[in-house]
Amino acid sequence: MEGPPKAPARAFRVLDGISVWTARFSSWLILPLMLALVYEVVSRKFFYRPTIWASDVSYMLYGTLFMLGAAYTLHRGAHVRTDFFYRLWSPRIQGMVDALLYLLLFFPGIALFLWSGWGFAWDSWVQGERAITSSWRAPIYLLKMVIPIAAGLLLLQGISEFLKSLYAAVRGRWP
Amino acid sequence: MAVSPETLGLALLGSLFAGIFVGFPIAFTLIFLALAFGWIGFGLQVFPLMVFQFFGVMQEGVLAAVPLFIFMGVLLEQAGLMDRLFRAFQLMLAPVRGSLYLAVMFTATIFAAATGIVGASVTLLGLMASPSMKRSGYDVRLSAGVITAGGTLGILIPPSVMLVVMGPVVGVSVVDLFAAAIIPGLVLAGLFTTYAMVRSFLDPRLGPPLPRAERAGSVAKVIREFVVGLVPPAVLVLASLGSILSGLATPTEGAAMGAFGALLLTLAYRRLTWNRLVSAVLQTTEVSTLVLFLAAASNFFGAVFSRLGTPIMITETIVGLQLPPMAVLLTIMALIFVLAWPLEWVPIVLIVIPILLPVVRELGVNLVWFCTLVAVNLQTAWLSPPVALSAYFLKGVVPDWDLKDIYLGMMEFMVLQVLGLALVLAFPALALWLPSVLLE
Amino acid sequence: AQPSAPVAIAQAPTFRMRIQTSMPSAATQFEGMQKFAERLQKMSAGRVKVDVLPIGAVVGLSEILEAVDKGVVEAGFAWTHVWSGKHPAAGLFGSPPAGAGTGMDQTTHLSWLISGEGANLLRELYRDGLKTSVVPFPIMAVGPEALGWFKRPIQSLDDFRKLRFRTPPGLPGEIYLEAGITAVSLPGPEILPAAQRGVIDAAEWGFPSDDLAFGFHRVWKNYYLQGLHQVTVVADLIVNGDFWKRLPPDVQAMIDTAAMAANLEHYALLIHRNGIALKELVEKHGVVLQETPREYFTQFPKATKKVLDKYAARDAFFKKVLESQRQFAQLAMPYRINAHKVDLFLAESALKDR
Ligand code: NA
Ligand code: NA
Repeated sequence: MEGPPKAPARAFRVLDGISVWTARFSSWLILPLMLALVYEVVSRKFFYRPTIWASDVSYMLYGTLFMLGAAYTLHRGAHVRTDFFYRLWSPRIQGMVDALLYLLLFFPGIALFLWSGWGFAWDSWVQGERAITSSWRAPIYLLKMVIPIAAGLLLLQGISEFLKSLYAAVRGRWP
Repeated sequence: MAVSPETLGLALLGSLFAGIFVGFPIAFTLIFLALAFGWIGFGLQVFPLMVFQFFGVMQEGVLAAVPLFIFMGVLLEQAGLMDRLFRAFQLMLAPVRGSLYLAVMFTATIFAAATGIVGASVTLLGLMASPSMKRSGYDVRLSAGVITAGGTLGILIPPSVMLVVMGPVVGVSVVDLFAAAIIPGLVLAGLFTTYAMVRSFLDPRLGPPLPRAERAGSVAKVIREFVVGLVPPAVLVLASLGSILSGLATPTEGAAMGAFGALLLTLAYRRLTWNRLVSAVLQTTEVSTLVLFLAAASNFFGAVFSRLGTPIMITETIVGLQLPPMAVLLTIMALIFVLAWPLEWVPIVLIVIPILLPVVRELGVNLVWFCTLVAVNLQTAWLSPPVALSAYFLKGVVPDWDLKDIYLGMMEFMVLQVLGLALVLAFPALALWLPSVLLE
Repeated sequence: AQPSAPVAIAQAPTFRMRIQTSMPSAATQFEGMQKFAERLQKMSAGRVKVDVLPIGAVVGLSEILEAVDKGVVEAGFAWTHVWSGKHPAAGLFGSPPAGAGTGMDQTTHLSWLISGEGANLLRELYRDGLKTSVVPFPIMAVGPEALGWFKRPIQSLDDFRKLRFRTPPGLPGEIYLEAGITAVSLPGPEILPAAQRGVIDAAEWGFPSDDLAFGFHRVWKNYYLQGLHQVTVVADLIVNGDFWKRLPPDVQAMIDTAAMAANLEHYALLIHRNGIALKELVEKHGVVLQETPREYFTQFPKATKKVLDKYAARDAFFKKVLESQRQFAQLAMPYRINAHKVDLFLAESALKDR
């Protein structure tokens, strides 16, 4: 039985690795998210000292968590798809359809997201934009910067998925 | 030939239905279609619009409850802490058919009172109940229907994000809406439960009773199992719902308290290992992302649809028909029902309701009752394929259930919701009695 | 043949102007914007078609400025202070706390914006401070906003300090913290449920008409109208720069005029509506109108001055705007206060004798 051709295999292993390692770090954000809010509750209720940062911290962590997780979720094949036709096809057809849709639909959409998101984040970064949701004045430019980073990671993972689809289309089985 | 943007919006809907069935991940299909049609319909501005919509979801602090409730669910599931209650519940009702449906609806209703959102409920219930259901040989469709329908109760039974958004739009007090939604929410829960129980009574294969060999020997043992099994969920309800109701926490903070409680429980039961924690946070990321990324994508899709003006066009057409009052109300309900098919509740509440509002005011109907009708009606949006987020959330946590079966299962419950809607329509007191008692 | 005049008008290009507002459709300000839209459509004989969109219809509150600047919508409606995260000076325009610590009241604030240096400084803010090409118009004055709703009456600032108070975001929150008030930030939708369950003990929102719709009176009965954190509030209409340039001068003048009219119209509407709402709150819902402790009026401006001076030291434009407001207040307030006393004197006798 022959394995995947060396060069593409190395490519999608490296690309998958980037997504997995990002998620291995970013996933831990759930703990500070939880602890910040628990701290806020305890501090406000029992010491009459609400924090000025907990609500800002909570949405910034939550927004970062799910955006940085997008590439990993793609790698895991967990973004939901309607598969009742899809799963009836042979791997060759699945690969062809996927490869085509990655080219026509995924790459343009996410590339534009990256481009547009970069402009959005960069403007905010230059401005040193702050949130006005609390008097803490949270550095909202950091959260905006998450958008182009997430889009970039998605694009890389998309390339990996595209290569895998090509492989399936050519070899008739998924790597 | 020039096509009006509104017509383009209709084409966008058509393409969505077609696009979704091709089988590409739905979030990316939504993004692409919205970009393409937005670009044709109103130009390059669609690109920043996408970023604005995503960022809007990213800074929606209320949604931070989603990963927290999911973390709580994953921890519970990994540590097997809920299994005991489900097993005990089933042991107790072992000879009763469909006892797990009863357990799910019971948990769902309690959970609905702890969360204001749907994503977390459906995923948590899916994570908790599906393993037991699979092991006990339950029918996939009915199981999926019970979980998705039970999960959507979270947005009707207060606290509810939907009612919180709707109050200011219509200009009625959110407190009134909360009080008005309680009984209809419980009525729906009752309808769902009755349906599942009657179906499994008529056809035991749908929810088989436990085989005799597996039933517990003594009543005392069953009761002990039940009580012991009840401890973890009791601690959690205390931590999350309890902290919300007692004024300790907002709903989002309640989610954090629940997750924290779950973490302490797994520690107390000595079920927390490093590897389990690593896989719990990774799974939390995966499930939260599939829920929230899809929510952001569908927000963007909805924004393009609104920016094209299609919802306004559809609504104005209905308003232009000039019908008698009850017919108008029924038409409005039908319109919302139909719009809830492709759309989520957010664009409907924010865009369609304000347009209909002058007409509703003309009718002179009680606005709290009207809002309750809309809320019960919009529940169907979660259960109407193909844009039925509940189905995707469930599929996300129970990948081996066929999406087609989930669709078919949830649609049976959508019919029940229409029945619930008819009840509130026929008996306004279902909505208006509780606010009048509680608040005047 | 030469086309006759009516045909020329009928053939004139039409302009679609979507206004993404920061308000839900039941809010008084939303109604105000709809009146603006009607007036503009009528004035332009239908050449401008205006759609007033409720918050979130195309984008949410914090994205309105960028959405207008990028042309996602042609125009927007929001309070200037929403952009204070992008440039702190924005906080001085929309709602200078305690009249920027200078004592400017609502009418004087409008006077500064329309007749004083405010108009130029507002354009400068949007152009140089916020780096956009939008064209701003002050369009709606809604102050003074209330101090808020309280679980129990307060006699002093120390009483106030014992309560968990939901403050508006931005500068006011900072000032309350400076004054030692326990400030809680909560998003709008969470306020009422939090109030009901005792997560917070007091909260501010708006003025009687909006507060009644919000439903505070269901939870708390002590209503304090005199507050300084948003004692004066003016919202802006912002128009996309390219869209503005495409408009013929007569249509530009119509928008300018309709915005100016909206200022007056809404000012009048609010006094009427707030009168009705306050009467309903007190007579129907048993709300008790309380007077704010006098101490508040010395301590809050003191804290305001501290916070504003801190920003002025950091940013030249902030300093410039603050100085302009302070000078304007020094010039106009002596007249304003002395003339305004007639209202109080009259009220003392007229309302009593009725
Ligand atoms: Na709920
Ligand atoms: Na739907």
